[in-house]
Amino acid sequence: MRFERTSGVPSGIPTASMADIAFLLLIFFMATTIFKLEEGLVVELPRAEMGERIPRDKVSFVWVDYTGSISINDQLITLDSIEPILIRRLRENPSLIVGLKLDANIPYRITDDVIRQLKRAQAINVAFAHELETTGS
Amino acid sequence: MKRTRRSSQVEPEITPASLPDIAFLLLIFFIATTIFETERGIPLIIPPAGGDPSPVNRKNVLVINSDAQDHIFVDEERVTVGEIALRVEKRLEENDKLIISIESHPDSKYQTMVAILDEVKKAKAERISIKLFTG
Repeated sequence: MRFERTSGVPSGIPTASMADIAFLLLIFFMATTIFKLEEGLVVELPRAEMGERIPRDKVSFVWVDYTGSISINDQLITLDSIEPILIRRLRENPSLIVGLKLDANIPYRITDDVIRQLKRAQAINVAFAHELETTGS
Repeated sequence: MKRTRRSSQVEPEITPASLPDIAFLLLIFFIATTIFETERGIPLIIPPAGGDPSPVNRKNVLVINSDAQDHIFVDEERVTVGEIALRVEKRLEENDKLIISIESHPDSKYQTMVAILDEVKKAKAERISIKLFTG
């Protein structure tokens, strides 16, 4: 037995809501976009698993690359100027976290020098930035 | 002089047909520029300079050190990176006042120190100290 379709409505996807969908996605991406404020140096971060998310609004990064160049806020600085810069930033924000973006291949002596500067600046909250280890082993 | 009247009868309007195009254009721009936050770091509280270090009982200190070739030693015994967490856990069970002291060699890689710190954090140790060469 054959049935005949009685509906005369043409099938089709309505395109009127396309703009709504586009705007919805647009608002989502606009709200989540964070523009990179700092370029930093080229560093190969050490690998680890136990790190926590660093809140972006509370952190001030110190970069040290493979050659031992130090940078804060995209300015190349000497080791001794870490202390005054951090003191100034801590005055503005006492709960500042100092994020250390140090190259994994630098000798520990450089890390030691940097930590000593942080201690002098009374910057007690430190985070050792790392890449998330992809566990293959 | 008389002003000439516009003869056009067409009502001026903005066509909403291009609205999705504009929206998609902006959308593509924001998708391309979005970076999701991926900053991760191992938090540690370091004592400020000038503080008087309080003496601790040698029994309550577990020393983890590394040498210039990035070999790792827990209490003078050579271990691999993966073994550290287990050893620290065991020692913490015996003594909950245990302080982990990470003493890295000046020529060892920073990666080694972070790997040790990572393992110690895995063992849920809370008292961690990083030994500096001077002061």
